[in-house]
Formats: sequence, C-alpha cells, structure tokens
Amino acid sequence: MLEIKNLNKKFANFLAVKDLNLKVNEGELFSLIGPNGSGKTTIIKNILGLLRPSSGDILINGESIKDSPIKVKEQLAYIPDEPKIWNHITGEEFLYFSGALYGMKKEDISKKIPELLAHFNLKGIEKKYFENYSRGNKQKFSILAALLHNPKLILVDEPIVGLDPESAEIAMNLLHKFTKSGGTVFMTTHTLPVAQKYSSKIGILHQGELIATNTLDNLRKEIKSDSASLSEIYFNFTKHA
Amino acid sequence: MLKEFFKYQKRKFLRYFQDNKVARISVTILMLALIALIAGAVFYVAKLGLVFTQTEKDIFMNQVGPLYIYEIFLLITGFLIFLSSTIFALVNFFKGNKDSWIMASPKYRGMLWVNSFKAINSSTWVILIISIPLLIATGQVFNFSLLAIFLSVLAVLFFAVICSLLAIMSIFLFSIALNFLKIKNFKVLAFLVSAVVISIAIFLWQKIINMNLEKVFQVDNIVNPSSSLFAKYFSIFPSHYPAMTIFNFQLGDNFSAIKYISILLLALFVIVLIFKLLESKFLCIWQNFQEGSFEAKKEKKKSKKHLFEGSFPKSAEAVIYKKELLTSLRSSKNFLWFLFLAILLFAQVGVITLLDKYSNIGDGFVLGDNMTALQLPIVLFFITAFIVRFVFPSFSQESNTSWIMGSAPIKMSKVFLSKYKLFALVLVILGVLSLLLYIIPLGMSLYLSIVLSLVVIIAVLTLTMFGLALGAMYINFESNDPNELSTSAPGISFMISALVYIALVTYLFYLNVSGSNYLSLFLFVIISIFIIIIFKRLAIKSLEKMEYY
Repeated sequence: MLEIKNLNKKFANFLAVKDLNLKVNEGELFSLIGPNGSGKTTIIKNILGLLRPSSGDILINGESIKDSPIKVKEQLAYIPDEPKIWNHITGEEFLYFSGALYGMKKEDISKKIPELLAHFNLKGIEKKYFENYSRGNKQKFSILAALLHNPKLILVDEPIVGLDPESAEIAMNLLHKFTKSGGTVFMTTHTLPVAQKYSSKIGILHQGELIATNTLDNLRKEIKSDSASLSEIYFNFTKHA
Repeated sequence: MLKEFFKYQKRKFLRYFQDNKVARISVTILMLALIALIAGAVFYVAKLGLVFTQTEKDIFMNQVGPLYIYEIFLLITGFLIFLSSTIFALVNFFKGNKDSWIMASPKYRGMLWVNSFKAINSSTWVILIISIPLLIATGQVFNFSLLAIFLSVLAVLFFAVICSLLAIMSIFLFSIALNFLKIKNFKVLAFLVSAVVISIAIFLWQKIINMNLEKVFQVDNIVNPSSSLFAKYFSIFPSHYPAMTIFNFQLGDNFSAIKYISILLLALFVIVLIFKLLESKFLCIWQNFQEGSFEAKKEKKKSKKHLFEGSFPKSAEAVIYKKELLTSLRSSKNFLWFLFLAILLFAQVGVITLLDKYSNIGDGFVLGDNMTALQLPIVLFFITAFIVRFVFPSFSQESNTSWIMGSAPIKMSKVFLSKYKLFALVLVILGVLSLLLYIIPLGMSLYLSIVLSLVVIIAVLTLTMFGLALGAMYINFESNDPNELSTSAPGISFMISALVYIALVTYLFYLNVSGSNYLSLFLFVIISIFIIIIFKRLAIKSLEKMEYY
C-alpha cells in the first residue's frame, strides 16, 4: 500500500528526514512514534504531497506522489494535528465540501453524513460555524471528513489530541474498524498507550532516522523484554540511538 | 499598561529590523515612498486650489476660498478617521481570542485604553496623506510662522483623536444599550454601527452635494459679501474647529485661532472624561460578546440551509468557487472592510459631482472634457485598494487551512482560477457600477460610456490577475493580517506597479478621448492581455511547486 524509498527531506541545511525506507501493508495500522521535532509531521506531509521530498520517492499502490500527485491524493485522507478549518463554514458544509473535492455525488454525501455524525453524537451542531466549535469538535469533523470518501490510506497526525476520553476511544475504534475493512492507517502520536493498543506495526523515529520498525511483540524481542510497554521500548531505543 | 504597551511596540519595531535587514529596510523605504507619493499628490492639489483662490484681487474669494478648502479637506479627514476607527474597534475591541489572558488579569481595564490607542494609531495614515500635506501647502501659500504651523498641526491632532474616540464611544454606547437589552449578538452591534456610519456618510454627501454654491459664495451679493455666512454653513461639523484655527492663522488673528484650539482641547477633555466613566462597563460588555464564541445565537427551530444545498457543484473548480464566495460573504470583518472601501468610493462620487457643479460657476476651475479621463484612474485606484485588501492576501491568508486544498486531489491551477473568477466578477461589477455613478450624472455620450466601461472591465481583469498572481507567487504563511501582507515587499511592489499601469491606461485612454486614437486603445488591450497571460502562468507554476510548512 505505502512504500517509502530512500526519503530525504532537507530544510535549508537541516536534514529533517534521513534516508527513510518503510513499507506499510494494506489493512495495517502503522504508528510512528518519536520525540518532538524528530520528523514525524514532515514524513506525513511528504506522503500527502504537502512537502516535496529532497530525494527518494513515495509510492501509494505503486503510484508515485512525485509523478502522479492527483492519482495518489485520490486514495488518501488526512487528519491534521491542528484541525484548522475556515471559521465561517459549518461542520455539515465542510463534509459536503470535502466529499465534493474527492468527486463524490451529492446523494452519496447526503446519505453518509447522518451515519458519520452519529459516531460522535454530533447531530444538532452540524449547522454551526466552525468558529463556534470546541477544539475537540473540530477534530471530530476532520476525522469524519477523512472517512467520508472511502480513502485507501488515512494519514493521521496525532489522532486524539483535544478529544475527551470517550471520543478518543470512538476515534481509535473507527480507525481500527477502517483497517479491518481493508483500509490502511499511518499515524503519528505521542500517546504511547494508544499506539500500543491499536497498532499492528510501530516505527520509532529519532532525529529524522527510523531506528526501529516492527510489530510490538518483535520490538519487545529486540530489547529482550517480553512484557515491556511501548513506553519502555521507546526509551530503550531512543536512549541508545 | 500603556507604558508597557509602548515598550512592547518599541521592541517590536526594533525586532522587525533584526532579520532580513536589507529586505525590511527596502520595504520600509518603499512604504514611505508610497505614502510620500500620495501625500505629494494631495499637497499638489491643495496648493493648486489655494493659489487659485489668491489669483484674483477679491478679498472675499481670497478668504472664503481657502476656508472652503480647509473645511472640505478636514471634513474628509474626520470622516475617514471615524470610519477607520469604527472598523478597528468593531473588529478588535471584543474579540477574545488574543486578549483573553489580559482580560483575565486584574489589569483588564488597560485593554480599553490600549485598544483605543491602537484605533487612533490605525487612523494616522489619514493625517499623513491628507492633513499634513494640506497644512504644508497652507503654510507655504500664506507664509505661516513655525508656531502657527505647530498649533495648526496640534488642532488637527486634537480633532483626529476626537473623531477616533467618538467612533469608539458610539460602539461603546451601543454595546451598553445591547447589554441592557440582554442582546449578546455581535452582528446586531455591527449592524447598528454600520447604520450610523452609513447615515453619517449620506448626511455628509447630501450636505456637500446639495450645497448651493451660488448662495454660499454669495454670487448675488458681490459688492459686500460676508465670510461669516459661509463659515456658518460648516459650523455643524466638528471639522469646522480645526478649519477655523487654520483660517484665523491665515488672517493673522492668533487670538481667535487659539480660542478654537482651546475649544477642541476642551471637547477632547470632556470625551476622555466620559470614556473614563464608561471604563467600568468594559469587562461586562466584553464578557457578553464572548458567549457563544463572540457570536452567541439563539437556537433556531428551522434548520438553516447549507452551502451546497440547491445546485451542487459539478467540478472541483465550482466547489472551491462556492466555498470562496460564501466564506467571504460570511466574514463580518471582510464585510466591514468592503463597506469602508465602498463608502470611500461613494464619497469620491460626491467629490466628482461637486467638481462637475463647479464647472458651471467659474471659468478658471473647469475640468471639462478632462473629467472623463480623470474618472478612469479614480475607479481603478479604488479597485486597486479592493485588490490590495482582499485579492492579494487571499492565498497567504489560507495559511492554517492550506492543508485542505493541498492534500486534496485537485490541481492548484483550479484553485487559482476559482479565486480569480470570484474576485474578477465582484470587482468588475463594482467597477462598472461605480462607473455608472459617474456616467449618469455627467450625461456622458453612449459611445464614450461604452469605451470607458470596456476599458474599466479589461483593466480590472488585468489588475485582479496581477494582484492575485503576485499574492500566489509570494505566499507568506507567517501572517494572517491583510494589512501586514499588503505592506510586505511584494504587496508594495504590486501597489506601485498597479499605479504605473493605471497611469499608462489613463494616458492611452486620454489619447483616444482627445483625438480618437484607436491605436492607443489597441495597445492598452495588448498590454493587458500580455499581463494576464504571463502572470497567470507564473502564478500557477509557483503554486504547483509550493510546499506547505
């Protein structure tokens, strides 16, 4: 599904991502963890085509983001860490707008919106402007917009920041369910218990380098601790990096 | 609080020049050059008018002529300051997102004074480009002493602060009334204040347009006219007091001039006192407008229609177009700025109509045929102001929301063209409408009306493309503020280039009007098409290469 080949991203003289190679298969929920400034968001933005790789390539189902950006973007959805959306647009309008951008028909969007709103119990506030929503509700609408057009890969930058515990659980269950139906999720997070609970594979990023990538069990084996939490695994890898 | 505010402003100013020193110094120089250019034009017009009043040995005209110029210039100054402060205060006074941490502190009252100072400061440009050039022209023509110039400047400054505080106070008083009536909707406040501003604009316009110049200038009583009758006509406006200060210095009556300054000072003192009394109400009003995130609404039983109800956009381009249209229309800040610029345009119509009236009473002040060529740069200048405020910053203002378009499967060329279509449509309508407001009262011929309209349409399409393209080529995600974006190096370059283009268009149009030179019109069309094609390509190329940090 997602293949990152020798990705390097340089900002002036600073190398933010160093020679990254990674494969994420269909149906996987891949979590990328790492300290602040380690390059997580930069990687997501490169996959989305919001940033251009300095070298290397990113393939989605064999299509390169460099050569066929439109074809690649049609298969993607993005949930940013800061759900900034135009103030004077309602939640419902944003969902229609997102659907239309991805070529959905009005009837299909109208049919799907009530279903989606029900997940987070948003019915009743969908006609209010974004400027009147709390951060959590903005985040919920951006999650729903990502699920609306049936993407193949969802890129999530910090999925549960600003969500209450119940909504965080719902959000993660939605993403988990999405992978069970054949979709793929690539997620960056600092919330290690969430990554531990839901991820099928985990990558640890340190100063732009992927220092480990494997399933949780195999990562435990690598540090020779069968019961280690992801937090312990993370500290172990980053300390020795 | 004010002391801290000034310290902060000083540090901010010094910090501005710390990085990219050369670029920022260049921007500052360009900005000052632009202000000097406009101020220079105002100085030239004012001096021309003042010298004209002194050409004939007619004591009445020698005295009343300059007074008329002072009254008109200061009336425009006062209205612009009132308008500018009103918009600033409406947009900034009760907006909680930036000031909430200060409003939560025990020093919250200071915000009222800091914001008031900012509102006064936001109007400085009016003094710089209208009042100061007028005073310099007056000083030169009538050989004012340094003290007279200083006191005249002081009178104008007092007047400016009074206008600014009156604007803030009107908002404040409406807010107190709304608070009393338990109305917490900011839109009601914006509506009431807009109604007041429009009423004042209509009143002033009517007063100026309906002025019987023959009566005021006492054409029937040439033998023994009285300047007091003239002064009486303007005495209802606050601008009369600084005008009379300058007028009395012109007559050498220093005592009367100082009397008028004292009246202004007293008025300022009374206003500040009322302001101080209202200070305690500030927190309560601020709190009310914070409910429902600055826009508390009553729940409506009937659900409101959404953006995509009715005709559903068939293409990505149409989706973006619709989104752009409605997000622009729904922003009260954009609406207020649109209103501000539209009122300026409206005021300009009054001035032009007035000039037309003038052309009937004297031989020396006839603009005649040149009036037609004068209308073109005026309309295009205002269209450029709209472009600077709305079109040029359009891409940069998407900073936080740029991820939506950037991650969607659409070509940036479509985003660019959707924005262009929307802005071009609105500005062409505005340009043609404003043109009609000139054409109808002047009774222009059909041929000239059509040629003028076509020239305006092509020029508006060109300027809009140029402004949008430069904004797209030099996207600045560091700021959301259109004023800051417009005064960046690319923004100022746009303004200067647009002024050059307007001058060229005017000249080519004048050649056609004065001698039926069709080649000049053809040249204008070719230049415009060339600009549109080149800048469209450059902008799209730049957008497709853009990265979203």
